[in-house]
Formats: sequence, structure tokens, C-alpha cells
Amino acid sequence: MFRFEAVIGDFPVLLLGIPLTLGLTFAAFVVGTVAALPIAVVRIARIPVVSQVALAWIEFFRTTPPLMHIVWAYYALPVVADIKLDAFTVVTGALACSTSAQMAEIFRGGILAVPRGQWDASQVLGLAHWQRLWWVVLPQTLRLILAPSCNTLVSLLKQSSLAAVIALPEIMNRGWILASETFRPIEVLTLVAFIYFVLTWPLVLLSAALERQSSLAFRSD
Amino acid sequence: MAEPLVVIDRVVKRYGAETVLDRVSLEVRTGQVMVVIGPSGSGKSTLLRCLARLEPIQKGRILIDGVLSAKGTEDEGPAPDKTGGHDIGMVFQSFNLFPHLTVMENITLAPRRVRGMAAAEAETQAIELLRRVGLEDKRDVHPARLSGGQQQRAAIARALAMRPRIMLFDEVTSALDPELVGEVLKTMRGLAEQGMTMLVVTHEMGFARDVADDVVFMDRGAIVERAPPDRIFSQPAEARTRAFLERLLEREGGTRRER
Ligand SMILES: Nc1ncnc2c1ncn2[C@@H]1O[C@H](COP(=O)(O)OP(=O)(O)O)[C@@H](O)[C@H]1O
Ligand SMILES: [Mg+2]
Repeated sequence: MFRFEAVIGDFPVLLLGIPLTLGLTFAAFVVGTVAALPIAVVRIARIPVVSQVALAWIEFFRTTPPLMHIVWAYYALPVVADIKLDAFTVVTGALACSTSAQMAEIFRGGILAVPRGQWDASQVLGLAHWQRLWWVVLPQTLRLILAPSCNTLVSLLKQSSLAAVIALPEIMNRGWILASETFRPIEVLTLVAFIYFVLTWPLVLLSAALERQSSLAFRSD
Repeated sequence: MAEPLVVIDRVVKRYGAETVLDRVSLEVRTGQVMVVIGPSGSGKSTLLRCLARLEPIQKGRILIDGVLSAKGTEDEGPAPDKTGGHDIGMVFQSFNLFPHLTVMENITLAPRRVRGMAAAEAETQAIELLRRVGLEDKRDVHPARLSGGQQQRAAIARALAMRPRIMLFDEVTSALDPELVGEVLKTMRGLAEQGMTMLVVTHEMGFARDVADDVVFMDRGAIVERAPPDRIFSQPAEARTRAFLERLLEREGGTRRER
């Protein structure tokens, strides 16, 4: 019943989507993570209004699906606000927003996990608040959050397939088109899944290794 | 006589409804070593933390060398000048060394980032300090590779790198294996001999006897008694002090060593 030989010749067409998939993933991860740090810091700081805005941002993007953000930004924004963005920007932006919410929570957990004595010691030494954060707390936070960040990257790579709905020719979109052209959706989508597996598996292994390492090697005082 | 280096004036510190320091007043002169003793929960750590500006106080004031260092948040009057300086060094029971930095980097971080000292100068100073605490061969090691006693001496060197005029020690030997206590106390004795003004919370009665100019007994957030060590140990004026010292000696019992 399955006839992979009917679609295997088109496999390279799917592979051509890899750069775009990786590009979307990488761009969204970098933008999202860079944005996440100030969001997390502000959220912890309990500054009136600003901290609430940060919290609202986090909760909104953690509780609503990125597919909705993509569709909304791509189809509604031009009508409502006369803002027309290209598909790559829309997907990158939408995924970066949810990544920023997720990573902000990861950063927050990592910052709060650094013992209070580290803040105390650096404060008595005269370091300003941002210096304590930058030179003492964040380097320790980074080691703690490597594994969960890696997990975020894995789910982001899979979520980049949402770009298919607005016709960005990444892996999933190419799979859909190929499936309708060949009338072999099961075979094609199996190949698509295989490509995602090959891309994410090393990251999953890396995440597990990081988790093992951080639970073993790194202890503060 | 010259004005005291440290003036703690009727300081009140509360956590929520609990009053942890109840109008505590204490003066320490330049070069004096003050040992603070008292039962657990009596407010010793809190007193040091308020001095180090780690905790705000609700009432009273703290002066360092005549300059306002902290003032009650519930009191009127101008706030202290925050740029006041880094005149206080503190050493903690749990060391609190920065685990991601080498011993050298632990010591040079604040001089470089706070004082803007050049790297070479900060390192020269750090090497001198490491010699003083007997760790000159550990400069490039991370704290996790040091024994507790070595970590604590590194923490002392780190605090000294900011050239404080007052050093606060909060039960700095309590987390150490017994055989490592001596090396840390020796470093502290050395500091005292060089004229450092020190406030030391400790249960090391040998240290108090030999090094302290005065011993302060605290109980339930108040200073009960202050006297030179020979007097407070032989004939405490207050019943509470006597009861505490008796319990302490009993507990130390057979394990007492002369240090
Ligand atoms: N951060 C805090 N929040 C609430 N209560 C505290 C805090 N730190 C200390 N306390 C309370 O203050 C009292 C004095 O504590 P502390 O100064 O640590 O005593 P000591 O060092 O003499 O053992 C204790 O009752 C303790 O529970
Ligand atoms: Mg204490």
C-alpha cells in the first residue's frame, strides 16, 4: 500500500527547504532570546507598571498559539493597521515573540536559582545592581539554563513548520505541495518527519548531555 | 578621645511584625575587635547585614567615621549619600565565592569594576593579598577545588581587596570541618594585629578571649551586655549572659581545643 519509490525521486525538493527552516528557527531563537533577558529582569525587578507589562507579555504569548499570531499578523495586520509584512518577517516575528515568553521564564528561573549569598557578597563589594547581575549572577544562570534553552530550540524548530500556512517554501510547505502533486500524502509526510527527526535529534542529545553535566559539575559554593 | 569609627544608634529592624533589632546601640573604635555572641536567632547576622547596608533599617541611624551610612526608613531627615563608599568588607558563613571565577578573578572583580583599577594593578594587589592569607599557589583555581578553609581565606582576601576600614565576620568558621577552623582564625588574628577594625560573630571562645577588645552579648534583638572578654567570661553581669556561656561551654565540653 505504501509506495515510497513513487516519491523518493522528489526527496531533494524537500531537502531544499532545510535552509529556510533553519533560517527561521535561528532568527526566531536569537531575536526571542535577546528580548527574553530584559523581559525576565524587568519581571523580577517588580517595577510598577513595567513589570506588569512584562508579565502580560509573557502570559499572552504562553497561552495563545503561534499559528494564531502568524495568521493574524499576515492577514489581519494589513487590513486593520495597513502594515504589510513579508512572510519571513511574520513567521520570525511570531515565533520570536513566543520564544521570548518561554525564554523569559527560563531566564527568570535561572536567575532566581542563583543563591542569595551571591547577590549579598557582590553588593557588599560595592558592585551596582546591574554589575551584580552581569558579572556574578548571569554567568551562573547561563550554565543552569543551557539544557532548557536547548529544549526551546527543539520545539522552535518544529514550530517553524507553521510557516507552511502562509506559503513560505520551507520543509513542511514543500511537503504539502509535493503531497498534493503526487497524491501520496502519507509517504511524503513520512519523509518530512524523517527530515525533522534528523535535524532535531542531535539537539535532543545535546540537551540531555547538558542536563547531565549541569546536575553534576556545577554547584555554587 | 577620637570619635568612634562605627556608631550604631538606636537601630530598629523589623521583618514584618517581628522586631529583630530593638533599639540597638553600639560603638566601635578604630582598630577595635568586637566579638558578638548570643543564641541563634538573637539578631547577630541581622546586625551585621544592616551595617553592611544589605538590609534597610526602620528606625535609628548608623554612622561610619561620622558620616551617615544608614537611616531609619520611618525617620525624618535626609537620606544617606549612597556613593558613600566601600568602607565595609564582609565575610559570610557560606563563603559566597563566585563559583564561575578563579580565585584571582574573585579578588580582582570588584577593584576593577567598582574602582576602575587596571587589570595589572588589581592582580598585583591580589597576589599580595593571597600571600597574606597563604593562598599564593591557588590563584588560578576555581573555588570548588578548594577546601572550606581555603575558600574562606580566599573570601577574606576578596573582601580586603576593596581596602575596607571595617571587616564584618558572620560565623565564618561555623561551616568548616573542625581541623580547618584554625587556619581561618589565624588569618583573622593576623588582620586584628595589623589594626583592622573588626566585628566578629563567632562561637570560638578562644578567639574571643585572645583577640577581642570587647565582647557583646545579644539576646532577642537587644544588646544585653558589653564587656572585655576576661570580665564577661569570668564574671558576667547579667544572668542571661551567664546562662548562655554555661550552655556554650557545656556543649563544647570535651571537644574544646586551645587555639
Ligand atoms: N530575611 C528574613 N525574613 C524574615 N525574618 C528574618 C529574616 N532574616 C532573619 N529573620 C529573623 O530574624 C531573627 C534574627 O535572625 P538572625 O539575625 O539571623 O539571628 P542570628 O544570626 O543571631 O542567629 C530570627 O528570628 C530570624 O527568623
Ligand atoms: Mg546568624
